[in-house]
Parts: sequence; C-alpha cells; structure tokens
Amino acid sequence: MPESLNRLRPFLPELVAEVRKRAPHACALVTRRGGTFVVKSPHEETVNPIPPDPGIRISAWDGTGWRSLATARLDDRDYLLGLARELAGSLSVKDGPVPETGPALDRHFRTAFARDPLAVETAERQALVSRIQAEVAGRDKRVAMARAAAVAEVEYRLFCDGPRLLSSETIRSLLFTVAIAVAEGRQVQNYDSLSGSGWEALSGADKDWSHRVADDAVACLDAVPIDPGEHICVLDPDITGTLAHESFGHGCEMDTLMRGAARAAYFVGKRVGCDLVNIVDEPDRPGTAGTVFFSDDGVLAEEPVVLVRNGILQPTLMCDRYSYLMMKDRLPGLRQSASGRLESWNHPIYARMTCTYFVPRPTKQGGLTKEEMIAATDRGVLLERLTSGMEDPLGWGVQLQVLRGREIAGGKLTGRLHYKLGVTGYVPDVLASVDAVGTGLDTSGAGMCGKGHKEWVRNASGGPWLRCKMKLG
Amino acid sequence: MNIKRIAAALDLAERVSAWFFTLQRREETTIIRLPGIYSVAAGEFQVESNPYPREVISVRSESAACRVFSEFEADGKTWRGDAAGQFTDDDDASTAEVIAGLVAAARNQQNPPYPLPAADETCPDTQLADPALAELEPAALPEKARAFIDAVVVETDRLDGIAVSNAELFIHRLHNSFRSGAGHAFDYPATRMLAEICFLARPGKDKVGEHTARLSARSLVDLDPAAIVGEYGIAARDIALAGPPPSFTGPVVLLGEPAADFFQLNSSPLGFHAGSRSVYEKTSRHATGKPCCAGELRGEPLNLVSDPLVPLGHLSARSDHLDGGPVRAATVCRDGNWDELLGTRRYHHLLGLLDQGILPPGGPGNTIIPAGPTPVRDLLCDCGDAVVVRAFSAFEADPNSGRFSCEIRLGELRRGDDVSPFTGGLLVGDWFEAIADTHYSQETQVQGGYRGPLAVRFNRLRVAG
Repeated sequence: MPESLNRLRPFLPELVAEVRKRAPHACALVTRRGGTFVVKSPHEETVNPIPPDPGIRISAWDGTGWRSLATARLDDRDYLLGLARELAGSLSVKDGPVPETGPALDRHFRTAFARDPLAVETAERQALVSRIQAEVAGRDKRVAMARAAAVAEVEYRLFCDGPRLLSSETIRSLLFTVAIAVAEGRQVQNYDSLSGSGWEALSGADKDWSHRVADDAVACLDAVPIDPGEHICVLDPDITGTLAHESFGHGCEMDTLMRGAARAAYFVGKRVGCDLVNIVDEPDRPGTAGTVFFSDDGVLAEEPVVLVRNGILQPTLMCDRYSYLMMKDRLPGLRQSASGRLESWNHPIYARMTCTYFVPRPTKQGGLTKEEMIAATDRGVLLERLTSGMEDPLGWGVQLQVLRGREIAGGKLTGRLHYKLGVTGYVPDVLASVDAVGTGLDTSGAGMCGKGHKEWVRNASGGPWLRCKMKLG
Repeated sequence: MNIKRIAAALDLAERVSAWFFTLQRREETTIIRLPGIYSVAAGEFQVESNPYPREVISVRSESAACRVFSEFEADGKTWRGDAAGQFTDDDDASTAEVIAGLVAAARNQQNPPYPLPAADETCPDTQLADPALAELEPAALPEKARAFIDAVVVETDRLDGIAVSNAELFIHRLHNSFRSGAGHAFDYPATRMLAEICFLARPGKDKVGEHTARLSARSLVDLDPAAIVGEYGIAARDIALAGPPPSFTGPVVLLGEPAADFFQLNSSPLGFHAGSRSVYEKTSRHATGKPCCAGELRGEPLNLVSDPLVPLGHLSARSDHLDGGPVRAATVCRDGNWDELLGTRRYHHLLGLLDQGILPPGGPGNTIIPAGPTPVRDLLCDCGDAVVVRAFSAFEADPNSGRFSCEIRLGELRRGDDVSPFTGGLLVGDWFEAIADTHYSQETQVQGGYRGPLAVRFNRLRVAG
C-alpha cells in the first residue's frame, strides 16, 4: 500500500473512538486508486496514470441512519480528528437498532496473482496494445479502425469500526480491443476483452484472438435484420451473467426491495423460475472484476449470497448495513451480506452486486456444453457481445443490448448474422423458459454497474452458457 | 492548497513543455430518504412511515486536476505526449512526485505535436453557478436539500395512490481556479444539483408501477417539486395501468425525456459521426454540406447546435478538459446537412482545420435544437394511429450503424381519441433513416444537456410488441 495509507491505518481506531463518544456505532472508510492505462489508436498513443482520488468518510449511526463527513484531506490528523468531533457533536441519537460490530480483527487482504500487473514496464504494455492494434487493423482492409487498451488497476480500502481494522489491495488487469469495419455505406463494430487479477490473465491475447475480433466485425457487414419477436436464444456467458444481474440481481438488492420497488418481495420462498435456475452473487470469487474482500461497510466477504435455489427465491438477499438493520425483523431468514458498496468516498453506500451468475450444471445433472446446446437447438439465435443492460425490478422487465446474433437451424450455426439486437422479456417467463444450462463457469466479463443511471461500481459478469426464450428486435 | 505553489512547481519542472490545471474546492451535501419501509405480509405490501434520512453526507474537500505536456526527440522526430493527473496536496515532495509521474507517462507517447492554446486565446465566460446557492452559508445547505425532498413528498401526498419510494439530492458547490503555463488564469464558481426521485404508484389491487426522475440542474429553481411530481409521478401511475405492447409500424412520437434521449449529442450516433477524430479515422459518414439523414428528406430538416456556453447549462464549461483551451458553440447540422465538426485540437490539426483558422469547439456541449412549427397537440393528432413513447428503459443507438432497438418503459397507442398505455416492446429503427421524416414541436423543454422540442414525431418506425 502507499506509505500515506500505511501511516493512516493505525490512526483510524482513534478517529472512530472519537465519534463513538456520542454515537452508538461509528466507522471510517478510506479509498484510493492507482495503476496505469495505455491505449493504442490508429493515430494516437496514450499512457496515463489512474488518478488516485483519495478520500475518507467518517460515519456515525444515530439509531435511524448514517451521518457522514468526508474529505480528501488525508494527511492532517488534527483536521480529521476535528471532523470526527464535529460529526459526534452534531448527532442527535435516537432509539433504534444498532449495527453489530464483529469480533476484533486486524487483517490485510491482497489479490493473488502470478505476475503483478502494476509492476509490468510501460514499454511491455505498449508493445502488447500496439501488437493487438496492428493485428486487428491489418487483418482485413475493411477494418477501418482498431483500438486496443490495457489497464492495470489497484483499489485500496481501509476500514475501521473500532475493533475491526481491515485493509485491502484489489488488483485487476484488463485488455480491451475494438474494431470498426466499413464497406459500401455500412459500418459496424466488434469488441473483445480479457480480464483477471494478474498480467497472466491477458495471455490469451494471441494473434488468433486479434484476428477473430477483426473477422467478426467484418462478418457483421453482411448481417441481416432479424424478424422481431420471441426466439429461442443461446446466450454467451457475459450475456447470461447480465441477464442474472438485470433480471433478478437488482430486485434482490435489499435497499430496492425495502422501498417497495422490487416485485421479488412478493416471491420470497416462492417459485420464480424453473428447477434449472440457481442464481448467486459471490463477492469473494477470486479474480473477477467485482471481487471484494470486505464490503465498504465492513462486512467480510466469506460466502456467496444465494438468491435463487432450484427456481425458488431465497430470503438471503443482498444487504448493506442500513437495509439489513431495517429489514432483519421484517424478513425472516435475511442475513447480513458483504454487499454494501460505494462509487467513491464521497458517495453513499448502497446494496450492490459484485459477481452475479447462474450456477452451472454438471454433465450428470443434464448440463450441456456450448456445442451440445447448439446441436440441441432446432431453430434459434446464439447471442454474443453484450453492450448494456437495464433492470426493471418492479415491472420485472429486462433489456439487454447485444452486438450480434448467429442464426441456428437444425442444430448448426448457419453463418447468417444479425447485428445490434435489443433483447427483452418478462422475467418470470424468461426464467421459466430456461431449458439448458451450461457446464462451465466463465466470470471474466468486466463492466460497470449503475444503480439506475448513477453510482457506478465495478462488476463482473459471466456464468455458463444458457438457453431460454426472449424477445429480439 | 496553495495555487501559486503548484503553478510554480509546474513552471520549474524539467521536461514540461506546457501545463494547465484546475484547483477545485468542493462543498457537497447529499441526502437520501426512503419515506416508507415496505415489507410483505400475507401477500400484501405493508408500509411503515420512515421520517428519518437514510444518510446525510457532507463533503469538504479540494484537489487539483492537471495535464502536463512534454516534448522529446526520438527516431529523428519531435514528439509530444501528455498525461493527466491529480494533486491532492501542495507540499513540494508530493507535487514533484506527481509531475515526475506524468512527465514519464507523457514521454512514452510518440504523438505528433499540435498547436496548443496561445496566450491570447481566452476562455469565454459563462454562468455556471446559481448565486442563491453559491452564497448560502455552508450550514444552510443540508436544510435546502431537506426542504426540497420534503416538498416533493408533500406534493406527491396530494395524489391518490402515488408515493415517493426513494428521494436523493446531491448538491455540489465548487470554486474553480484555472491556471495554465501559457498564462491563462481565471476563477469561477459552479453549482450543480442531481436529484433522483423514485415514484411508486398503486392505483389498484395487483397494479403497481414505478418511475424515476433523474434530474440535473445548476439552479435550485430549476428543480420544481410540483412539476417533477406532475410528470414522473403520473407516469408511474400510467405504467401501473399499462397493458402489453402492441406490434405497430407507423408514426411514433417521442414525448419529453425520450426526445432528449434520442438527440443528446454525447450519446447519439450524430455526436460520434460529427467528431473530428471519427472523420480522421475514416469511421464517419460526415460530409460537409451533404444530408445527415439516410434517404430522401421527407420531413423537417434537423438543425442542431452543440453549445457548451449556455448559461447554467448542464454540459456548460469554461475550457476543454483535454486541451485546456476555449470551447465554443458549433453548428453540427444545418438545414438537415452536416456542418461543423466537434472535437479537440489534435484531430482538428491533423485534418488541417487549425491551419484554416478553424478552432476546435471541444467535445459535445449542450444539444440545442430550435422549436419546430407544430404544437404538440397537432403532432399527436394529425397523423392517424400513432405510438407515443413517454419513457425508454434506456435508449441506446449503435454509434456506427445508427441502429437501435430499445425497450419502451411507457408508451401509448393512440387510435383517434382512444389512448391505451402500454409497457414493454421494442422501438426498432435506424437513427439516420428516422431523421429523414421528422416533425418537431413548437413547445420546448430542458432535459439535462438537451434544450429542444418537447416532442418529435418520426413518421415511420416500428414497435415490436
């Protein structure tokens, strides 16, 4: 960790103790970022450090909610103690539930990897993105533009609520390339990405990978419109993960449910999908874009949050500390999860997803490989390359935007492509229509998730291949 | 932080050929309130009043966002790179460390130099702060935020069957100080408010709908609780009463927020194709003086200006964040034809525009479209059967092809006087084909960075129900 954070860490208990003189519960969270990104475009190179954006929020619980003071001024202990005193002095404590402080714990977490991406020389990163950019651009004269970017990123967290003093360094690697193909007045794009913890996660970026990005872009120049309506869809893992995320994930965030904005509230303990549907959120799944070691309100990430088991919605939904405290007596079976996350130190903490996915199915339980799923589909569309998703937890609608669909007929890909598809459906119908779940689990998709249209946090996406019915347009 | 100290450090730093930074002092107040806590008992929602905020956050902070440029020789040529970073304090050691990191990054970029803003290029002034908000005592900010949220809740309580399920208000007061190595120096305040208000409607048993107002403004008077409730609260009720989507091909009217979603330059295909970078990379359909639309123009021609200098505009700015130079208004589309390019100095230089004396406007500013000739009432009535889109789930058009296929969160099928609200279904089309047969309303609206017609009618689009 940076020396400034190492110096600050042992000071946090003192800061929290100052607030605890008046508050029934208090905590402090420090965040800071680091890393570098490099980009190669046709006519431009970029190398840039990621701005650190350091800050601290000191929070007090007054019996009914949080009161927080936040600042980027981390280097002045007297100033921070003054803030803590001011926060304590401003409190009007009321009767109400109080967050439980766990047993004393002093622990530091760090992402495991084979090769530290932050230690990779700039020249090596540049060589990688330059090679990929050249390979994609040079593959076909119809590729008008190619761009490649590599990101090595670290997020630092310090958390203290008195007896607990936690810190973490979460490290991620990401490689992204995009190709734009142009011919005869048509213009389309394609992208691909690789992500993981260490630099080794990018090792799949060989020439074949680059060429596939270019070839798939060029192929979309001949795409034909789809007949709008309901289709049998085979979803790639990234789209499957986003279906889980948008269809059920947001509605299982307790702060959405507790404000009456999630239809899932009616269905706890009831059927929401067929037996094949199992959905979890796994904050501590190693090496994903959403991996956390503890939540931003100090809950250790130790186990997956089970949202749907064999088609039945579970009461173990995703909570930040506020929503857990307010709902634990109203929803039997609710458990505190490590789901409280914030966009930045000056933003609120909400219940958020990290890595939400459909649980794959072993072969002996009927799970299929991608190839088996295609072979078992008489007529359908294989959907690839997500561009965005949007939730509707109360209406139980879901919208996904994908770059392309491949026609399946007679158990084979025909070669016909559809470009830029909107994918929608009524969530219970979609989940009831799931009739094949893949055997493998790929959670390497990396993206950002908003709460509505704001509060962006890093999220993983992925899962197994999945077959269901959805509306395409 | 001492602004002179940072400027001096940049001036004295080795291998820095140009620089600019903005020191920003921030005061922020955030309030989140859930006026009711919902749970389910015996299959019915139960709600308990919750008068207390979920969280109140006060922020006092300062930091400086900077960009440094460094020129160097390699392979017998002169190159220049640049890198952006952040000063979080002004002590000599940490300032020097940040600068050294940025210089090292800049010198890894073999990019051809281009002319940077000259000392006599001044950044025009524009109002970015609401004086009533800027001059408030800091202690009064949370009270202002509370009063706004209370007013929204009270207004909503007047409506039967509609409630506020979540109310968030973020108030930001900023004091900015811009400095550059070329001698530019100006200070200016800015204010900004972001509100997210979720309305729940339960107009009958088993009928429930939600709709969210996501609003931004620089002036508190632009957040009118009654107007917010009137538009978004009623939309929540209409969503609750909506039926399934129709399958339809014909006139489609985007009313209110969807019209803004469609045209916003910073997310529309038009903004992508009007960028000097896209033109230089040969991924743009831009051709000055040629039609923007695909196919023959049958409706009213589009006129669209990018203006980053609108007083109190959501996307207004004093300078470009990549160049540190002035920004200006640019006519992107004039009488239905491509006109000026957006973008920054690098690509204006590469395209030879700087040599012609054409200064870059910067990235997309506020999207300005003049009012059309037709009242909304007539736009809706003089076309026979039509679909009206009142809310998208999230509008997204492919910037390259212009194709879109977006879920309708709230729509209406109008057949004469018969209006049937629906939810779901996809609006399917091609952005550039759509604007070939378009009619714009007389009435206008401000939605974030969009200032233009309240309603836009496309004479032939498809709804996939």
